[in-house]
Order: sequence, then structure tokens, then C-alpha cells
Amino acid sequence: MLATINALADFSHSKAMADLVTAGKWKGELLATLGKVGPPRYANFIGRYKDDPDLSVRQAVAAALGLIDNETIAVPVLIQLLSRGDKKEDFAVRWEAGSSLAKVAGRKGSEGVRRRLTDLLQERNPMTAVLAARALGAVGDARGLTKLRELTSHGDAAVRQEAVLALGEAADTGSREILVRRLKDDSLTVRGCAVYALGRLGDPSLIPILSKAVEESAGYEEKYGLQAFDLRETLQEAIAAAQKSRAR
Amino acid sequence: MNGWTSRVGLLTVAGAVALLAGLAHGQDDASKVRALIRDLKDPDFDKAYGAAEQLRKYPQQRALIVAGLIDTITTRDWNRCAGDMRQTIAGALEELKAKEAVVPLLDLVKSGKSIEHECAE
Repeated sequence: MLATINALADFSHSKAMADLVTAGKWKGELLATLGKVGPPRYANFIGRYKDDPDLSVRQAVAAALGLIDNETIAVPVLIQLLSRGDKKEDFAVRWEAGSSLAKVAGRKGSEGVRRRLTDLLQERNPMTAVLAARALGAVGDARGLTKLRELTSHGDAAVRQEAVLALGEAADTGSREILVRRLKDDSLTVRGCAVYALGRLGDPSLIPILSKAVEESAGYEEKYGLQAFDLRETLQEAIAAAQKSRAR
Repeated sequence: MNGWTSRVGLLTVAGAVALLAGLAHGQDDASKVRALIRDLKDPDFDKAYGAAEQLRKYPQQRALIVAGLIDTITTRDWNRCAGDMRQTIAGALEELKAKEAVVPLLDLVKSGKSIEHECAE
């Protein structure tokens, strides 16, 4: 039902959707649709729900503000959503806010948001820094890519994981050697992310290196009894991605 | 009557027959769609669900179907799986790109009637 509304609604339905959100009905779903079709002034309305106790509503706010065309209102809220919360469940909201900031940064005349994201690279909280770097990296900003490369060797595996994934998303060929080093990371999850990221670089010459790394990781997994995820599956996807590039 | 005029006459008759057959076929489809919409409104979930599936076969009857779907989703209820039934109808409206359904669907959401998946099947 709400998916149908999302697919068919246009700006003329904004008021009706906002009224339902105010009444507390299906807030997350309708805020996301409002972000997609609402006129710019609705950014204020969406932003009001940034502190909602429901995680899915905050996540919807983060997604919606990346869609609506109102940088002045959306960016400060998104920066706040990206920077706050250290609980595990906050991560989804922070990640979504980073993705939305990347969307805003990808639009014309977005130097303001890029500057704010660059400021976040100096944050003491490494997850904030990595998510800001990811947003900058996604639009090919060298400052973001440099920070991501630096954070691939951070002490926290979750930060390394995000940095490696982001370099893969950006298909940053300049990070090839750094990513190859992560194939021997202490964390199997980071190794898996490195396999994925290297596959995204689209270089078929990496296939033997990836295969060898996955073989070694299988032994590592048996030795330590770790079950992060099936690296063989990730390897197949990475090989397919690299081969697809060769076909092009 | 020469050969040329008799050929023209035959073609005209054939064209008229085809046109009438087409109209009859359209009317036939319209009456089938009306019958299916009646079934869709039936409180029995299985009967209604079957009708919803069948309605997909008549995209050329869009106007009739959209009006029937909107009326059904906003006014009817089913003996079980009512949320699923409403989801099915909403999906059909989306397939038909029925923008005119948005306001009635928002009213339905407002009404508090079940719009969620309820049944395992």
C-alpha cells in the first residue's frame, strides 16, 4: 500500500501525507515519500522528526533529506544525523545520512556541503570521519579518498571495514595496493570487504590474488572458528565484476 | 458492377464485420471485467483474490478496472487476510499507473483499516 503511494504520489499529495505523519501514522514510509515528491519547503517538516524515538523514522528522515531539493535546511540536519550516536543501532541512521550528503554533494554548486564534510574529516570520532570521507569519495573528491585510504589501517575493525567498502564503492584504482594489504587483515570481515572492493576496481589481473586470499582466509576461518560470512561467495562476485570489466 | 467496384464492396463489408467483431469483443471483455469486479467485492478472500489475478488479463479495460479497484479497496472488507487483499489491489493500481488512486489510498491509510500482510500464504 505504502509502496504504491510512494510510486504514484506527486507534489500535490504532500499536504495529505504530512497530515498523516502528524497524526503519527506510518511516519517513516510517508516521510520518505515526502522527501521524494515534496516541494522544497517540506524539508523543514521532515527535519522535525530527526529526534524521533523510532530508529526507522530517523533513518527515513536521513533518506528523505537527501532527495528533497533544499540544501540550506537539509544539510545541517544531515550533518547532525551523521555525527551523533555511538550505539550500534545508530549506525544505520548515520550511514543513511552520509549517503544523502553524498547525493547533495553530487549536485551542482555543492561546494558548501563539501566544505562541511571536509571539516568532519578532522572529527575525533573515527566513524564520523569515515562516513564523511565516504560521502566525499562517492563524488570523487580527493580529500575523501585520501582520508579513506588512511582509515583502512585504523585500530577499529568497523572503521577499516567502512573505509575499504567506500573505496570499493568509489572504484578508486589509486587504492589498489592499500586494498591488497587488507586481504591479510586480522578481521575476516575486512578481508571480505577488500575482496569486494578489489573486484569493483575491474582489474582482471587481480583475480589470482583474490582467489589466493580467499583460500588463505578459509584456513584462517577453520583455525579460529570464525564465521563472518562466506568469502567464496564474495570472491565469485568480485571475479564476475572484474571479468565484466574485461568484457567491456 | 465491374470487378473493381465489387472488390471495394467486399472490402467494405469485411471491414465493417471486423469492426463489429472488435466492438463485440470489447463489450465481451467489459462484461467479464464487471463480473470480476463483482467477485473482487465478495467477502470471501479466495474468490476475491482469484478475481484480482484474473483482472490483470484485461489491461485494455483500464478505466473500468481502476474505478472498480478504487471502489473496492476503499469500501470493502474480506473474511480473512484483508490486509493482503488490499495490498494486492494496491499493487494492481500501481501496475496500471493509476495516479488517481493516491488520494483514496491515503484516506484508507488514515482510516486505520489493516493494510499489512497478515496471512502466510
